[in-house]
Amino acid sequence: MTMQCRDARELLDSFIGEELLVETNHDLLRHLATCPECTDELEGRRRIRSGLKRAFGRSADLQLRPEFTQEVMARLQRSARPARRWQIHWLPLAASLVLLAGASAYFIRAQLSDVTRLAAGDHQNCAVKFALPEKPISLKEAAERFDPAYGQLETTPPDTVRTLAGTLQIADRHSCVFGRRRFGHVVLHLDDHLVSVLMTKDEDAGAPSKSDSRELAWLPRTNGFGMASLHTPGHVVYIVSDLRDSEFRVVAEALAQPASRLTALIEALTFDDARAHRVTPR
Amino acid sequence: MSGGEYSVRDAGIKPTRAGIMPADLCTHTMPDDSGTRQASWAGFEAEALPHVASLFRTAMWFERDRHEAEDLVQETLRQALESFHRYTPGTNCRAWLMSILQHVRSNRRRVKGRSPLVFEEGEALASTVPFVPPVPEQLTDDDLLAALRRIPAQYQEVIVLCDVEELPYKEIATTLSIPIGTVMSRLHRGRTLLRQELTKARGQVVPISADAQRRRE
Repeated sequence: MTMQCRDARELLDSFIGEELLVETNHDLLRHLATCPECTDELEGRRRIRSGLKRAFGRSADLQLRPEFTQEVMARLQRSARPARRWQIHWLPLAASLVLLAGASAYFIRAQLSDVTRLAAGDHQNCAVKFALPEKPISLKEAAERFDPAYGQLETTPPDTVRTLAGTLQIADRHSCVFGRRRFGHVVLHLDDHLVSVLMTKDEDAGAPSKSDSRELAWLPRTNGFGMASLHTPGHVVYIVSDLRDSEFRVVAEALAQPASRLTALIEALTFDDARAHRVTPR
Repeated sequence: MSGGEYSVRDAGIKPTRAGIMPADLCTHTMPDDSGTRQASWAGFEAEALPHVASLFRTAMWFERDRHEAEDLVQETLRQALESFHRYTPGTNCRAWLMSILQHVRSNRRRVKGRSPLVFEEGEALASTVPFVPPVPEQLTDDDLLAALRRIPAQYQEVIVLCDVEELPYKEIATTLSIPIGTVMSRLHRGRTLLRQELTKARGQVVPISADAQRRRE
């Protein structure tokens, strides 16, 4: 059943707050795609929300004295007192929790490939912190020296990509190295959030399970970042961002639409990679 | 959706436990073993330190007094340290700290003879709000903060926790010890009131110059 504007508007705040069930989210997105009035309303609500956050962040009255944190932490450390004996009963439970947490973390890490973790690390250290040991080079230079595919990121995705979560604007295009792996890196921003499009050669190129997978693959959050990937027989393109899940999905899906030209890039890479693999099979 | 409250299932909202009271937050001390104590301190510092600015911002917004807000944050951190063994790593530490802040704030109000942070009348009043005005095109920081200040405190609370601190509904419900449906209805009504205040203010607020804005920032 088609969603009506009245129902959609009741859900908009929960949509922004990432509180909707997946199927309700999809129903709402379908409605928004055909209803400019509700899209405007969504935009208005987002403006109030982001405006309030910004206003709180900029109001001098609401900011902490720089030395306060240090002072209070020093006081607390001095006042930490010894415990009573009965608390020892909690130790086995705490140890079990730590083991359980460790095992879960290991299990989750094991699901992720090294390349995926490096992509998350590159986003964090290059786009967010500017803390790479090796200076980034231009995509043109990377295309000439390492892989012609990097050159395609000079125009893909475009400098501006409109999405239902807001408009992505270009911040930088370059090629960088993280953990000895080279990436073609496009950094976009959406308000205060950064979105990376990272392309690299795929170690598992030619693997049958991946060679047909040109649709977005949703990956578990890594280092706190939302992640999705697109695969060709010889390359992988990651979309990485600190956006919350619902916004990240909207942005990644928009980047995977034909208008963002990423799909065309994937098609071209798939063709080139397939040809290369026929010549030099792994 | 009757009686002004959202039905979680009907509204397509993720189901969750609602109205969980914060656990006994401050009855235990840290373990005696010095190595464990060091590890606990390091863990506490790593988890809590990033949220001090956020705690202060929230405390300052509601207390409007820097000394009082700092004291509130310090007491919050002290109680958090004492009950840190109850904190589950990997869960939302900021929400946990906000729960303690709210708990401390409520207790202090009670001690001072002011009513604890329980609101009822305002909700009945706001449920009659019929009109949702459009969002003004131009929104300055001053407009937004002044409009938020003019709406009843219970709506300010949920809006600050949701829009500024970006806590999920479940965590807001836990922090304020209210059912999740109440969180949603307060947000809905609070945002409507906020938009009304913003619309009213547009006719009265004189836009400040870009230079003045930069100085304020």
